[in-house]
Amino acid sequence: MEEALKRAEELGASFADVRYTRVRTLVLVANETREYVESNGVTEGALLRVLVDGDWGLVSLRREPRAEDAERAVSNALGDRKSAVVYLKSKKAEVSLPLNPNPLNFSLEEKMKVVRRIRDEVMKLEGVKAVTVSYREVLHDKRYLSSDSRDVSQAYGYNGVSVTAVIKRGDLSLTVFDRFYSYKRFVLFDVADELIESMGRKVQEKMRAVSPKVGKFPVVMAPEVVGVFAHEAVGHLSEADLAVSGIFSDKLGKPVASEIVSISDSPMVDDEQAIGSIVYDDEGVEARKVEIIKKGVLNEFLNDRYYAAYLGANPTGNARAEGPISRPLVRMRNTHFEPGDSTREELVSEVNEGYLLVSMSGGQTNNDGTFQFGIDEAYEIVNGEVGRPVTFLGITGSTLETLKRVSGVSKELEFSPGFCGKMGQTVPVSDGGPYVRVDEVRVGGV
Amino acid sequence: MASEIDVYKALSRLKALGYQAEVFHTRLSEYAIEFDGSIRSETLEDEGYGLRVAKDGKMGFAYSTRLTEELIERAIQGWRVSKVDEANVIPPGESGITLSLVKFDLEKAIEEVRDSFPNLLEVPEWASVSHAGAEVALGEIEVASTEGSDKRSKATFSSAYIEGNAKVSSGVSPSVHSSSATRDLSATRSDALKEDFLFKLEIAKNEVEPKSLPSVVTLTPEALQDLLLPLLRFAVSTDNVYRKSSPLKLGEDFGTKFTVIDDPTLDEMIMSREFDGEGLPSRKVEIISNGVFVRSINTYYWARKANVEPTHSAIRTYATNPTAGFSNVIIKVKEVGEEEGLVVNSLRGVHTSDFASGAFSLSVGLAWNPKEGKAVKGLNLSGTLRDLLRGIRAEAGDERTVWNLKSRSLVVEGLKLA
Repeated sequence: MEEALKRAEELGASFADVRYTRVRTLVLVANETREYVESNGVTEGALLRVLVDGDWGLVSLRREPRAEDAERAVSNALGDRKSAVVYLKSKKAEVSLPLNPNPLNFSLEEKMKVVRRIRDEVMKLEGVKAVTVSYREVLHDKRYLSSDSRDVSQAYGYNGVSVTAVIKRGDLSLTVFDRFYSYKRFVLFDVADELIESMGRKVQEKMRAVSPKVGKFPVVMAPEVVGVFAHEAVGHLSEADLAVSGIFSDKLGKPVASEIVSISDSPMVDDEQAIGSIVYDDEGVEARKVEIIKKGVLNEFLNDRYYAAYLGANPTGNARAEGPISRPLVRMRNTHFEPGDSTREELVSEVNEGYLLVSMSGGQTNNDGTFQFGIDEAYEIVNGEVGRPVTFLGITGSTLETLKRVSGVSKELEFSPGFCGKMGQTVPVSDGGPYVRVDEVRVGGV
Repeated sequence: MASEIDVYKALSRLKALGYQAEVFHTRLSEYAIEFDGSIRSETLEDEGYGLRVAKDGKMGFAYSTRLTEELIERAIQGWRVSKVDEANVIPPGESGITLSLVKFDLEKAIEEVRDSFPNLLEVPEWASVSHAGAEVALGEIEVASTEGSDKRSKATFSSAYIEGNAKVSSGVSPSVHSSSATRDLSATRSDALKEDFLFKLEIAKNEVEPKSLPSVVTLTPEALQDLLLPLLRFAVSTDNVYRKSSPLKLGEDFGTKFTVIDDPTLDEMIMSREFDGEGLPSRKVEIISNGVFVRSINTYYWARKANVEPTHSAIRTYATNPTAGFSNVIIKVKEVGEEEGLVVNSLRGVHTSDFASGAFSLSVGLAWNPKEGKAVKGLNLSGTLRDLLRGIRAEAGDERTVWNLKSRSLVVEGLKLA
């Protein structure tokens, strides 16, 4: 790797870096018909980047790069000669965030036994016709080297279990989902009972759920939904590559939300489900907290080395790559609403007709500032009281309008794990927050 | 570092141990150029091996970027925890079809894309490009097994996309996106793509609030790609039908005369292939015939499990087990009509849908009134897959190919706009 960097500099590169990654992945699946290994693999590879006369050239390959790969990267360089990066002080670091105990100390048979037990218990629930239980563990080993003398080695991983059940109510099929992940400990043996109990409650609620009304309503969003809102509706728009051409492009330093709204992206969170936690990013940059919105004012964007230079900002350590040969993109880590001073009960009590949104089936945001979320667990709120569960609903809206309609924030702070897709790459993240009331959101249901 | 071994040596070793075995080997050479404020130009070389082993009704799987003894050991480890199931076998080798899927020379294509890419970024002053990209690739797939499969195929691929806004008095219009993918190089030749992008921007820059909400929508092939294909793929997979996780029932009549065909044999289309992800020869499959759901698509395992005819529809990468997926989808409706109601060109967030019920509630990206040609903003479209299929009234406009879908626009009643 050193040889490739040296050759790149000899060929005129003003900056070069290389990241070599080895990823070990295991996925075990049990559904009502099968028990099998979905994934059991090791992938290795490197990404070499060079900056030559203000143009980027990259080479990705499944081995350590050599001098001739630097020559290929330099010949690839193409553009308008305007690219630059922030240079950093030299640094040598070794970081290890091990899962404890090490999941590799347990056999596949021991792990499958627990996966099977969760499947069997969930299948016993009334109304459940199909269930899929997946256990996933992913372990990374990375080394980053750069021409500005950064040499950062990192070992970290995460593991967790997800459960999806399909229930039948007459002709209607509905999905119920839950999961638990950790970046700190091997969780499979510990969380099985908790997930079985949680699925039991969720299935019961779904069996008596009613269809929601379509229209505009006040909503109280629970921490999981608030976290996804912070991630999808605010976090993505604050990623510098999207921010420079999006609705936030001219709003730094300006109010964009109610004064009670503060949203941050944190690199390390103590909550074990904050699986987006990192110490250094994939450009060897120390990851730091980014206060995206501070008391309603747009404060800062997430960046990588290129966008830090482009915007004249301090690097934030948000460059992350999915796999060994993926190029780093500006990505979130653990994105969250900051807590406020209300209680959940106070927020609900002030809603005459609306919804309590508890958990998500997914979300998406768009560069024009609109968002769309699927809500798989929600309840009616009638005269300040939480009422019947509803089957499935989607909420859509404008991020800026919604942020200005936030009228209450509770004291809690909880995180949920997730997987974020962007430009064909998926990385582990977490989202979090308190309970938040929004005075009007567009609700679509089925 | 463990030494690498030959595919046939690995198969021989596993056969000697009493296993059926299959190696799925892919190699990809790709060149990509992207713009997101700065331009990056990249070559990528990827290679990997997926190994399945089967014996006594159990199946194991492992993958790696290198074929080593360790990979074999991990596949056998996986085999040990598999549930016994007589459907767990490696498919037999079958002779198949030949297609011409190499449409360009990669090195020449790289030169052409490097020369033409700057042209993609040149747009009129009222428009602005935020992201754009183009790629050309040559892929090689090999499926070899102890059961007689020994298939190899090469194919080229090109794609391009462009995304941006129009400058309007209030700032910028909503962003619009255009993309294209072909086996030959036409996707990266920028004129048609840019024309589509500018057409959409012209509409987007005249965005208005909806005056009323029609009961009919016209879904363009782009919107069908966003909405219909993901929901339908889930619903018509044999595994989901067998597991009662599909919102649709085999034999169900949607009441309108339309046909959905999965056809991997059309060599000009992007998902054309000689054989599927298990080495089985490609087959054209009629899934919905005259409005009736007549056949589900499957992998070899699920065909055996559900006791239905194999459709040879396995898709995979070296790092994944085979799953049933679409190749190229052709939709035809007997009734031909005009664009009606609201023309919906893009929908966002289909992954947030409830796939088991087919329920969706999505934000509308770009939609316009066909008479005025002005974009309508702030809409949500909801319904179920069944509502959508039952609501098809006619096809309208020109037949177009959008990635792996060939269709006209569909005029649909019964979905809810809010």
